[in-house]
Amino acid sequence: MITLSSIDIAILILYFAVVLWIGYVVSRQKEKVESFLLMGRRLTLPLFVGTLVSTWYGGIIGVGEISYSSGLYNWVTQGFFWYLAYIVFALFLAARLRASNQYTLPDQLEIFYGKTARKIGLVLNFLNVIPVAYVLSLGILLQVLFGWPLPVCILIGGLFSMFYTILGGFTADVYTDMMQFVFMCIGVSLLIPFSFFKLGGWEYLTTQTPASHFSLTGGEPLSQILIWGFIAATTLVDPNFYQRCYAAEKPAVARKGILLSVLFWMMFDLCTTFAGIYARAAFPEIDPKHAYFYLADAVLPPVFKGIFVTGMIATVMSTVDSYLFIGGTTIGRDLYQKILNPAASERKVIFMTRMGILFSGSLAIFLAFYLGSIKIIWKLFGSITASALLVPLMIGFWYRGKKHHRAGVASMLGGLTLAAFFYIGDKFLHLPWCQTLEPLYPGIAASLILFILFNRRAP
Amino acid sequence: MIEWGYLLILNASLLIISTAALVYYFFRDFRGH
Repeated sequence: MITLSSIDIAILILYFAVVLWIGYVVSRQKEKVESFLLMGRRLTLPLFVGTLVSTWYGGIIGVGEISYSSGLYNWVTQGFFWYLAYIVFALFLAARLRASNQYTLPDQLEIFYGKTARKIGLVLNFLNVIPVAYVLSLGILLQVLFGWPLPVCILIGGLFSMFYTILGGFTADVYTDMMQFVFMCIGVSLLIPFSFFKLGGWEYLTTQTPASHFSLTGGEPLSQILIWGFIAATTLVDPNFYQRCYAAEKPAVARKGILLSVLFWMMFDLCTTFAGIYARAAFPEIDPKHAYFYLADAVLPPVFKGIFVTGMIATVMSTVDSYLFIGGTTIGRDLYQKILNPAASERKVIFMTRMGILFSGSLAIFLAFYLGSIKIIWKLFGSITASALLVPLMIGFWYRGKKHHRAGVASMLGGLTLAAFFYIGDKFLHLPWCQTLEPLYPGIAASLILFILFNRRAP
Repeated sequence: MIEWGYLLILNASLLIISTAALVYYFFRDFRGH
């Protein structure tokens, strides 16, 4: 579905070489925990935007699928509600996170609700950040481009991402993210003018696609659309957002960085949405997963195609390395340094973080081989993590009254238990009353109720 | 008929220009450190 010329492949090879070079150069610097885990809290505004925008955007194949199949509905469900969540994060959380001088989301939980909360949080965090779906996406991309067997592609993509992340830590993660950000934005932007001049303009789009592609609701009921609003709220407990805020040069950088990132996401989302609609117009009968590949092959000349394809790989890889790093930090700092061995040397903590990246990456590669079968279990972790963390963390940040440790712990356990119950009831037991509710709703409700109850009853 | 497609091209151009601007400020900060 896409053929690459030698120059396109050369661009791709150059990208991989530069990524490795960045990992190597950074690894030669003197290592302290704060520099390895948070780049010494020197994340400037441009770097903050580059790393956040690229890290957050990993589901490029999925976005292509939805925009190909449903048009503008993609922008509403994958864009609009999320912008609101990001703006809330920027205005009410970002500066506060940076000012707290913590390292991780479990650190925050311990400050609010004690060590038990940290232990629950780190387990949920770790399970939630194993980048199975993204390692699989990377594998699929490599398979489409080179035609190698999928398991081989998963292995290559996963090992490559692990290697430079282990080498250079968060700094390597951030600098490679910056380069990946450039490829990602330029790559996706190129599709639009080339599609316009080669295929046609607005009339082409509106006459060659179903009318529902230009409806903001995509024919879905409002209740279905509003669920996405709820899902977008999970941004408020995303560990990648937290980490970048902790690493920001100063609180204002964290706040302005997220707001600037929103502008980039808006522009990026318009490009990806309309690229999907162009693909639907030009190729009405293809597998939606391959929408962008068919379009790029049809409209982009050599060099530009190479940049675009590199941009697709960069989009996913920037997410893989960031999630791997959070996994590593969860093991190295949240578990090892803060619970198992508080007297550990800086060198030991960094070593354990590297081991954590290795473990997280290996697990991601292993599970990616089976994701088709385990996807249903995998999606469980996203729902239960948000249900467990959203209420206690937001109350921790914003409620000025007394917050008892038991209330936080009960809230976390209640939220995750009820969300898990509804998810299992729907997907495995097929209970009708479980199928009517997104697990987040009962999970968050239980979390809030238990917090209130236990906060009143504690001495 | 208004050619709304030009707005799409404008958006794509803005994304490219903004990316270039961010890269410029990144290198400026990098040299400054």
